[in-house]
Amino acid sequence: MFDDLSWVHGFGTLVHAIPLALFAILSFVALFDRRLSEQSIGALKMASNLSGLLATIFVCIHLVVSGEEHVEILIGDWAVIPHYDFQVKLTFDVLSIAFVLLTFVLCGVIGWFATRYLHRERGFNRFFVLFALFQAGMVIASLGDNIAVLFIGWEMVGLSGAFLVAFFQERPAPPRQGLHIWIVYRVADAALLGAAFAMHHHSGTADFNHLFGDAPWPNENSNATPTQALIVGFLLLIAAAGKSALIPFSGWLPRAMEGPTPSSAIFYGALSVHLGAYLLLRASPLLEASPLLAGIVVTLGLLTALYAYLAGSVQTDIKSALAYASLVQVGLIVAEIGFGWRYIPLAHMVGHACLRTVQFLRAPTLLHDYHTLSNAIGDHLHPPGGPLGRLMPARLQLWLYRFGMERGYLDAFLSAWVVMPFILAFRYFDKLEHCWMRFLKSERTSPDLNAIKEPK
Amino acid sequence: MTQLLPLPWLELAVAIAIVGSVVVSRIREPYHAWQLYIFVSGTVFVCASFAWLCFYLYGDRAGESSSVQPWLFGRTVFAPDELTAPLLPLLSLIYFLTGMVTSRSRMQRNAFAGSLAAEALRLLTFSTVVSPDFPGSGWILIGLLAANTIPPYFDLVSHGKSARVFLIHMGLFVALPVVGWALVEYSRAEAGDSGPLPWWAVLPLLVAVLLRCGIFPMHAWVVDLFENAGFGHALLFVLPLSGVLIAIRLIIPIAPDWSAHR
Repeated sequence: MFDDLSWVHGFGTLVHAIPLALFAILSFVALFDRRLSEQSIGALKMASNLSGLLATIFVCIHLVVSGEEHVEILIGDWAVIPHYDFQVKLTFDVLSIAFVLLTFVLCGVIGWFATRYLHRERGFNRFFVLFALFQAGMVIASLGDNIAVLFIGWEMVGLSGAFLVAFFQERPAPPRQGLHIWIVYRVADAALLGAAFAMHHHSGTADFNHLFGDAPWPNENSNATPTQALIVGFLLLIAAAGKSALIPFSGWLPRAMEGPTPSSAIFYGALSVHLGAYLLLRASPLLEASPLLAGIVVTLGLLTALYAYLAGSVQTDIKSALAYASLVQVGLIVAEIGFGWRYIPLAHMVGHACLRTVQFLRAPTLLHDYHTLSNAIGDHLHPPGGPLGRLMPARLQLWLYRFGMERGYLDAFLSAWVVMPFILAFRYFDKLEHCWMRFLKSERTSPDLNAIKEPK
Repeated sequence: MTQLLPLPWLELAVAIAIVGSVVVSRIREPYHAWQLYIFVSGTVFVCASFAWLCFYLYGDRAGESSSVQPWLFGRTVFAPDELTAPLLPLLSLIYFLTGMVTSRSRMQRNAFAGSLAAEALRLLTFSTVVSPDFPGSGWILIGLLAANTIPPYFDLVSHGKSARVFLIHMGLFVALPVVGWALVEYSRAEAGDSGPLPWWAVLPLLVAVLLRCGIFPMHAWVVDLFENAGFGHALLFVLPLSGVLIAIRLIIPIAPDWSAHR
């Protein structure tokens, strides 16, 4: 049975088709104002997860039995024109299978939790539509054999993430935070698009193996020169930093906690926050080709871990504390990738995602858990504290406390030095543009260009 | 399946959109007009998807035997190719989804009829076969591109807004390809088929592309359209990137050698 490649191709196609089909079913039902019952949605979700998981396991077994290191599945040609073709191609190797298995397992667990957690919630169906879009995006991004396919999945994950943060749309804060996250994602997406262009420029195609080497992961040897590796790799690093909330984009992570707990668990504890690290693992041959890039990755990872530790230590709500705890681990995973390890960060990622999912799902019952623990040990739980705190001077402690409370002043720095110049420039050009429009419309009044003030 | 697929799906899509436009324009109740619009644009999407699938499975001669184009025009004028075949379902999907998310308070029956007419025009524009073997094909594409500018103009007027900025830009957009293509044909006649075309013959076409894409400093019409026309109409006019189509269909085949990336 396992020798029959058509079976493997069939199951491989099912792996990404099943989440897409679930998304299509749920969204079209919603678009036509029809309502599925909560039980039906839950059953569909579980059925799709189980079948997707089984299909992935089948491909995995095929790889183990046949001894192949990877399987490529060509879904079709999106466009073929002279000198260029865009193939929709999926690759199953150790890295992608591990990530897809993780996706199906965690999405299954969290989906099952969400059917109860969101019982009688007005946006129940909407949540599962976005959840299915997210899952499809994760699977496509994990399996993509070229940067174009990865980009499609990457966008689906980003879009669904921003919408899920804005899930409680009746309140003003969630949509605002969702928009903030979407803007950060746009920066990351622009960098990924830039990396795609750079890859095209250097290798003439979007396929990873032209730049990363033909051997399956993790034995690839990049054909890129150090300069090419640095350019493409640096753009990929910016994209990964945006998606994984590395410095200086870390400010969006606590904002993402406005969403419902299951979405926080799946996005910012388990899967989405690791997607940047996954991208760096996929692009690891570039790190080997450019020691400078590897050094930047290590530095960024360690700085992020340190920053997240300081900020997370002073958080007063459990979801924010967990978010920063996640970020510490993601920073360490990124540093491990920069050090040139491959299986260690992969195992770290899988283990961390599972642990953090459990912690996020237990977060709503934290006080109950604390009381249970207190009753069991017959004493109050004592706040954590170490010898380092006692040895530190009081002023340094205070400064670090402020640093943590202000989240490293990252948001303030970005607002003042990155966002504000753009806003002022855009407003100035907007005024000029309106002058030009009035001229075209033969209107005589002109706005006062000096009236542009710094926005509050 | 093999019996079903080789139908002239593209022509069906266009015909359904045109007939749908006429029928929708005669419905007075906006909500009923919207319901019919969703049905028609959904059907057009299905037909366009089949056109792509058909092209993918059977190549560019699929559905030729049952096509009415040889009977109407004496040859095939509109057909999907490698570039536009996957774009056709996306194009119709944009129209379908834009209609789907239109809120009830903003429904206007005339807008739906106009959208379906614009969709038919856009499908025809994207599937126009431009080939050296077919001398008038460039002019057909230019004519259709010009016709595409009419629905947004009527939308601007129906909103009681000044269409002056839009008219200035779109007037230029229509005039430049006409001048450019006339210069190209003149230069071709002078230089012969094998000779290189002078840069000034391509220049008006290039400016038309920049103008239609809303590239600075010719972008004012985009702002004006989004501010004054219906959001759906503005979106549908800007999103399909017709300027890029001109670049691919008219400019790249005749671009001088020095412009090609080596």
